Amino acid sequence: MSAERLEVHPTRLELLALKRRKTLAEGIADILQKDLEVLIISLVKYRERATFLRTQLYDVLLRSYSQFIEAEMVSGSLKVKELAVTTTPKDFKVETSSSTGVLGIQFPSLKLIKQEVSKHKPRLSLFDAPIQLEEAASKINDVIDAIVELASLLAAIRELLEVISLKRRQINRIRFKIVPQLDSTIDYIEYILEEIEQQDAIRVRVLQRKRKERSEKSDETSSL
Amino acid sequence: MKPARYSTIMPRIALESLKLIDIDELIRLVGKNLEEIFSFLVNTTYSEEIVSTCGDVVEPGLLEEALFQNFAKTFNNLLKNSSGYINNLLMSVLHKFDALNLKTMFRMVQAGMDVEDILQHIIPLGTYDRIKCQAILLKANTISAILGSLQEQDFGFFLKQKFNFQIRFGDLTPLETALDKAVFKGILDEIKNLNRKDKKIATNIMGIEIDTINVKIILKFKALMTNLDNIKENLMPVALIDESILESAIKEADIKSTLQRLSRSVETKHQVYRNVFAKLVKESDSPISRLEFILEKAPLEMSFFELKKDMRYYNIGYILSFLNMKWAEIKNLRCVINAMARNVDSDKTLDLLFLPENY
Repeated sequence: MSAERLEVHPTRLELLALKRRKTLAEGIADILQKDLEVLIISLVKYRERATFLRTQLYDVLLRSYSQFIEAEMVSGSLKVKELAVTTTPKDFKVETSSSTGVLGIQFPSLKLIKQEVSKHKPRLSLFDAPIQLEEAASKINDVIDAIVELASLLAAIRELLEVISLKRRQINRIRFKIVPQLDSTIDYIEYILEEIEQQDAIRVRVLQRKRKERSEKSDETSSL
Repeated sequence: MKPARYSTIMPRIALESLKLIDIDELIRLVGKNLEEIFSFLVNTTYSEEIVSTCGDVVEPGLLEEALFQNFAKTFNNLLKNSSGYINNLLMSVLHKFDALNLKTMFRMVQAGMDVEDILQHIIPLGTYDRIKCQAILLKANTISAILGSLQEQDFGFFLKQKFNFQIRFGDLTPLETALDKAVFKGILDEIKNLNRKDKKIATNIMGIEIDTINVKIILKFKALMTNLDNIKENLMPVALIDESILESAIKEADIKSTLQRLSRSVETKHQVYRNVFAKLVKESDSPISRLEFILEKAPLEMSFFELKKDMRYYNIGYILSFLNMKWAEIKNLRCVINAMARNVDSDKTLDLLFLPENY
């Protein structure tokens, strides 16, 4: 499929300008390609960290859940349910801000605001609550930081993916639209200029021939 | 106490003991599905309650409820067949379940739950059963109003004294602790009324339960690294491990040294105490849940010990040991049912069963 030509005057000046634009476009595409590579490398790093955190979280949550089940086995489902609905829920505040990351991209950043924990008494009943419930809750508390970090990482990954997709679109636009368009316009102008040159050459040759004929005719009349 | 006091209750105990599920059969239930457990239970002493509670629906919650109903029926039978000091002691033991239900009511009222939801969590045991709790809750929808309705009854006096704290800090712990303390004080007071031999046996069996609760509270405080300053307020009345020993154990730096301190202090005391604390010291590096399990099993071990030691038929040990064994059986069945409902593997389930030592 041939690329669409630009609407330009087929002049030598225009040709030079187009060639300059093509060089510039190819330079931009190279820079964008390098940016893309940097972004992909940081995406891989973020993904590795996210996978590590997710595995860690999965392990802790699994252990915590298993302790919760143990609490049910020891104290019965009714008691665990009762303790669950009557315990004051813990509120977690998460502060959102933005931080500058790779290539100066602004990533959303989440920060857990830790609240003062009362050390005067355990959260659940001392007498009725099995220790497994406290242990399960405390394990979950310990991984809240990791959960917030994971959320922050996922937001950064999403942002990175958007930037990568934008860069890829820009590179593709330059490589597969702008450069072929410029190439086709340059080819067209070169072709037109060549045509003009050939016509000029013919015209010159005709003129020269006519001039020659005219001079020969004048020479003949003068000799007579 | 004269054997005549035992003339009606002992045949009942003997009869009920025969109905206890054989340990081997209980072990065989581990890993079976709910339908198989249901089929097994309908052929045991639990059949009546299981059929009436579950009907065609086999659910862990309903099975648990049926087990409690059976325990309540058995306990009421014992109360009916007992008299005098034995009846008073059994009534004081029954107050443990009253305390459980009252605490449930306080917590759920504080959490703003409605009456229907609260009643679902009331266990059908003790004098504060669903009907009584419903009557209280229909008239009273605040903790203050509930306490007001308890004023003329068993726990009203103790709870009134602690109510101001609850109003000030919105914390139910002092109220709950006061309730538990009142219950255990009541049990210890009733034990004092027994004759010399029965008093010793009952102190051992009920005492180890109270002492292990105190140790559990200390361990919980230490494990959760909670402020130790107000730990003493949360301790129950003491039995064989006195307050000075508990105080010195609280001062120890970590769980291991706390257990070692307690173990040294019970060296001259009862053999079961020695065994339990020796085991705790040996496993002091285990998770706190494992230590709690050993402590919870202690009353059962004491019951087995007293049954073996004193073969004389007419004594309070038979009654209290039977109650401990029946309660352990219900906890074991509940454990097996909940394990099945949550697909827990058999080995882990077996670890959490209350089985006789060296089974």
